[in-house]
Amino acid sequence: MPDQKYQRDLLRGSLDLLVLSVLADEPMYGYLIQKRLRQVSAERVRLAAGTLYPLLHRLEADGAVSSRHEKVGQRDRKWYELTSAGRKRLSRQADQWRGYVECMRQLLPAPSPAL
Amino acid sequence: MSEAEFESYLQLLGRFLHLSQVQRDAIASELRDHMEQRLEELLAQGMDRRKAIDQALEEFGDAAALSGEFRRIAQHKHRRRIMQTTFGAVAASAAVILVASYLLPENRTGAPSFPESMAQNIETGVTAPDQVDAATDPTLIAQLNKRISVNFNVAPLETVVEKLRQIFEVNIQVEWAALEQAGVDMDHPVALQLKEVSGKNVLLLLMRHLSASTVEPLGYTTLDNVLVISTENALTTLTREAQTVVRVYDCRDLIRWPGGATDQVSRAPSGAGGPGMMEMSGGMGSMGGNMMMPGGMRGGQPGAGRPQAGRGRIGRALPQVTRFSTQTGESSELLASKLIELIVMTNGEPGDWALLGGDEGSIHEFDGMLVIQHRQDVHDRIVVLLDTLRQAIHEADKQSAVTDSTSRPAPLILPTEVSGTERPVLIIKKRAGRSVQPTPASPSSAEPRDPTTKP
Repeated sequence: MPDQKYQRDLLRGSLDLLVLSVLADEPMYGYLIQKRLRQVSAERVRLAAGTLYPLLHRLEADGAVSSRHEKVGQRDRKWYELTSAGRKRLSRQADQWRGYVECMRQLLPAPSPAL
Repeated sequence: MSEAEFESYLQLLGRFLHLSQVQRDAIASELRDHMEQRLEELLAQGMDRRKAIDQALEEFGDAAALSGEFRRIAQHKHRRRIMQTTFGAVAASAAVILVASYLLPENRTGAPSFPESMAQNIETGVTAPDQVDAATDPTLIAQLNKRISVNFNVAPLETVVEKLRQIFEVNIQVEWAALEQAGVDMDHPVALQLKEVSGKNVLLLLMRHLSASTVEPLGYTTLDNVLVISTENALTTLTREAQTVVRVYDCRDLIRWPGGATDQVSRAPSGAGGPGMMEMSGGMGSMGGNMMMPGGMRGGQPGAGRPQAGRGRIGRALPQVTRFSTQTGESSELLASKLIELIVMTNGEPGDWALLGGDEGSIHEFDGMLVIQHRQDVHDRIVVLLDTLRQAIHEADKQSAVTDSTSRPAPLILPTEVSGTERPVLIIKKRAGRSVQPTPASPSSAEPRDPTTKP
């Protein structure tokens, strides 16, 4: 695994938040979500399908997202979008995260010149 | 795009997801869509087709973990326990490995993650050599009850495990692959400071501490003299493998209701009998009909829900034989249903029986024999139940033979310890990873009939 990928520890707590954020702009299907995350993070956030789909299903079970099906030729595509409950959750978690980031920013030593 | 390769993979994946057909199809089509898009993308980049398949499959992640995840979510959602077929899942994953190795090029060096973890899981199923029941070794129990003190200040998990090995002086088997899949590896920092706490509780607290960082809960279980640490999911598989046993109980006497000419067999044309009666044609019928019993049970009406279809088609060719109870006039099939219902209702929780939607025990009747697969403790209770039932029937017969009075015999209360003289006819030892071997029960049984040894 290339070392530029973010450490698992960092990601673990925020997977839900990442996916909910991506869905905030527009409905998407799994593959697109995965792609968007890779693009926005410059390849640092790579969510395996094995992690992403259970997560999406869990969010749906929780009521944070809703889904609909689309027929694409012979395929069946499942689109996900945020529900109002999902939006509230996103907003709440984002606030928490921002607070956390600010706190860290204050605590962490100044970045070393090498980075 | 050709469906063949992905189709096989997805078929197998779908098969061991163990969800309803509808759910399975929904997930499968999502996964297929994803895979196909990824493949297209890779091919568009000019990648060689076989390499692209390799990569797409590899990126997909561990098939077993994926199915485990989906299963867990479905459990939550529908609030019912989904039957897990352990051998089925292992066989299916083995099949996935075979298919994957068939599909992927021979010179493939980096093997996908799932075969290794699957192989490891097959091996970590502890095989207690000659034990029928993998009960916990008493010394291990004693060790876990000991009070200990631990002081882990951001120690890596591996070190913690090693320390516990020393403290408890027992085998500790950690299923690292399963743990890593859940999100915890050997270096995971552990902070745990406890003074004079029983070993059991230390472990419990450690598991909780770790589970806070994982996508699925972790736990431990004891198996003979081994402490196994893994995900809860993996552990249910393990404990079931080690601890269920198949036993065959001769219940012909109970089903034909003693107290008179029990083996009254009447050859009657179809049509006899009330709502509960089912006619069976010869031996074939009793096999076909009785296997349907579980289905009939769900309706709450023993025997009522069973299909009548067999009667017409098969029955005509063979002589119709119906066994009737001389006392109540109930057919043996109905009595068998009732007996099964009795056993299931008075033993364990609903979740303990596949019949009632649980994922553990099974019970089937075959020619007057009850074939039951379950944990040792449940078998013990069944033995007592059957024994006491026989005693009560015996008493009742004696009483009705002696007096004509309407005095009821005192109810027999089930003893709480196993003191039954009932001995199962046949014990099939089930060991993890091996095929089932039947052994005849010891001849010192209290069974009045000749034990029939089934092949």
